[in-house]
This record gives sequence, structure tokens and C-alpha cells, in this order.
Amino acid sequence: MKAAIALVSILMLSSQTSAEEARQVRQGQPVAVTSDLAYLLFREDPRQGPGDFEYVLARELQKTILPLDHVAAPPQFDAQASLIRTDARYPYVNDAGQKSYLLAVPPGVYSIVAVTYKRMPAIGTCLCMGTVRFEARAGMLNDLGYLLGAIEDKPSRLPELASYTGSLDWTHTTPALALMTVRPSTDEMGAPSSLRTLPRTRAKYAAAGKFPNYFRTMINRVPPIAGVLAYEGDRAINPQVPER
Amino acid sequence: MRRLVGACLILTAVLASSATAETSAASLPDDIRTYRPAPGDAENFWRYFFFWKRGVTQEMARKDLLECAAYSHGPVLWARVPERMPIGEDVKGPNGTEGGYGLVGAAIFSLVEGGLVQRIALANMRRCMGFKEYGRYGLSSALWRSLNAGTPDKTIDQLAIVAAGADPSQPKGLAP
Repeated sequence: MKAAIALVSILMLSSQTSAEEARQVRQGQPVAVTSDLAYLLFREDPRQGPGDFEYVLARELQKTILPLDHVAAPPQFDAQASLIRTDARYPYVNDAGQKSYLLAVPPGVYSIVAVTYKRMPAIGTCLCMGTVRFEARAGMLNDLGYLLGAIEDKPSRLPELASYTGSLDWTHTTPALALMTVRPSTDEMGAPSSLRTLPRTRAKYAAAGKFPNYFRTMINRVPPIAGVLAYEGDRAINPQVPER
Repeated sequence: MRRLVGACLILTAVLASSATAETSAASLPDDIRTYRPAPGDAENFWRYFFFWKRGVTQEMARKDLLECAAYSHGPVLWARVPERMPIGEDVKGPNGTEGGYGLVGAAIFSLVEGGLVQRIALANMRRCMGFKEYGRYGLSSALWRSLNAGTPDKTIDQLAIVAAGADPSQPKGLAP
């Protein structure tokens, strides 16, 4: 019986997801490992408040983030890949406010290209002056750690974003300049129990250089992240790679 | 409505002045450098300002201004998530390298009245130049108009001269 349920689950999965489509997995939906699919798990820090931040991911042409250069390469977007916007309405797990989200995506390298909030029907703020990329490995649960959002003219309780928020008045942030960062996965971050059978890998982040404001929206960049992302002026840097 | 009419009048005036009274680039740095804010000026520093960076060359400043103008070009208030990227042949790339900037100057440097779209454009310009470590300094509306009058090409030249010119007398730069 269990085998039959598993088979049905896999069939359902393959009927919903082709190699070129991505989807957000909702609570209770089946999850199964396939070679043409990568799962992305990320968490929300409840301290960010009722933010309902959402993130836009874009797949790149390259298949791996390596090798890294000191000056981060700009993303080379795959024009065949659909952009992915996360949906804050559908966490995969909501355990007393501790929310985790799950995406099933084609394997590859992804950049986080925009952040928006409160389910606005708009792309929000472009992270086009510096962001992070990561590798989504096939057949794996790729643990992205936490994705963290804030609005710049409102103080954030998130330690990573507190110093970037609250000090600018509305004339500097109008209409609503959002920013985001990542808290990379650690061994201490547990995965939802229903995903523990999946082979899991901690996603490695790297810096991604600036790209054009394709969305014609507000611009920003991901603030520096220790060991992942730094800036020299307006150039995004991989701080772990020495300058040659 | 009054704001809209005002914007149109001012825009017309700016366009007219660009045809008849182009400011001499050589005289600009001193005017700008010695500017002292009058009471009330600071309320409008979010839109009337110039950039300055120690040690930058005019050539570099021009390149930086062009790149940031490209990031600020033609904002859309409720920009939808596109299906795919890259999109749009008319999108200007980093470093201002993809073609000329056409109406960028008109779109960015002739913004004289509010509106959310204009605010986005100005916010992007301030932010981009801030990331490039330029200081931002307030101006009176009259000085700002003289600095930004002229064709986009002329305006960029003038802004670059100021950005690479003598130290501003204002003691401290403004937030991006």
C-alpha cells in the first residue's frame, strides 16, 4: 500500500512539474526526489514581523557557481527560464509562527533578483546593484537557511538588517524600498520532519554582480554578508577569494 | 491638479531655458561650491542636489552618472514580475555601455515636481551614486535648475564637472 501511495505521489509530481517549470510546494503536497528537480527550503524569521516578504529568483545560464572570482560576475540570465516568485501565503510548514517554505525548481544556479512584500502585485525592489546566487542541486533538498526581508524606513528587529533600516525618512525610501538578506544554513537549523528522508545539502551562497534594472523599479542591493558578499564601492565582491 | 499644472509650467520653463540660456560649464563649480542653504531650502534637498567625490575625474564621474541614470530611467510604479529575463531591448546596462542614454537626461535631470514615478527615479539616482561613494549635497531650486538646464548631454557634462570639481563648502553630505 505504501508503495502504491509513493507511486501515485511521484506520478502526481511528474504531472505537475516539467523540467522547465518551478512551483511552490504547499503544506501536505507530495515531495519526492527526481533527477530533474531540486528542492529549495527556506525559513522566515518571525522577528521580521508581519512582513510577508516575497522573493524573486532567476535562473542563470551557468550550471555551477564555481570558480569564484574576487569581483563577482554579474548574472547571465537564462532567457528560457521562468522567473520564480515565492508566495508568502503558502508556507510548507507553519509551526506556531515558525514558517518554512519549499520550492521545487529545475536544477541550476539561481540569483535572488528582487524582494517585495505584502503580496503587492508588483516586483518591488530590484536587487540589481548586488545580490547573492546559489546552486540548486538536482535530487536534493537545498537548504537556503533563512531569507530575511525588511522595509528601509521601518526599524527591523533582525540583527542582519537592523543597521540598514529605520534611519531614512520617506523622502528617501518612497514609495517603499525593501531590502533583504540571507542567513545561510547551519547544522543547527532543523528541516521539517516530512523532509528528513530527502538527501539534504546546505546551499552555498556567492556574490553576484550588478545587472540592469530590467524591471524599471526601485533599486537596492543585498547588504554585505560575512564570508559571502562584500562591496568595493559599487562592485560586489566574493570576500573569501583574494584579489589577484 | 495644481501640482500637475505647476509641473508642466516648470518643465516648459526648463525646456525653454535650455534653448536660450545654457549655463556656462566653466562658471558652475564656484557657484555650486559657495552655495549656502537659505531657510527652507533643506526641505527640498531630496530632489535638488548635486554629487561630489574626492579624487574622481570628470571622465569617471560622467561614466558613473550615465550608469546611474540608466538605473533610474523610465521607472514604472507597479512594475509586474516579468515571465523571463532579460527583458526589453531598451534597458540600459551597467556602466552605461549599451547605447546612448537618449531621453535619460530629460527623464532624470529635468524632474522638477513630485509624483511617485519621479520619486523612484530620483531615489534610484541617489542610491546608485551613493553606492559609488559619491557625497550628495543640497542646492537651491534656482541653482539646481541652472545646473540641470540644457540638453541631456550638456547636463551630464555639467554634473560631471561639479562632481569632480572643488570641495563643496557644505560641511556634510546628505543621506542617499
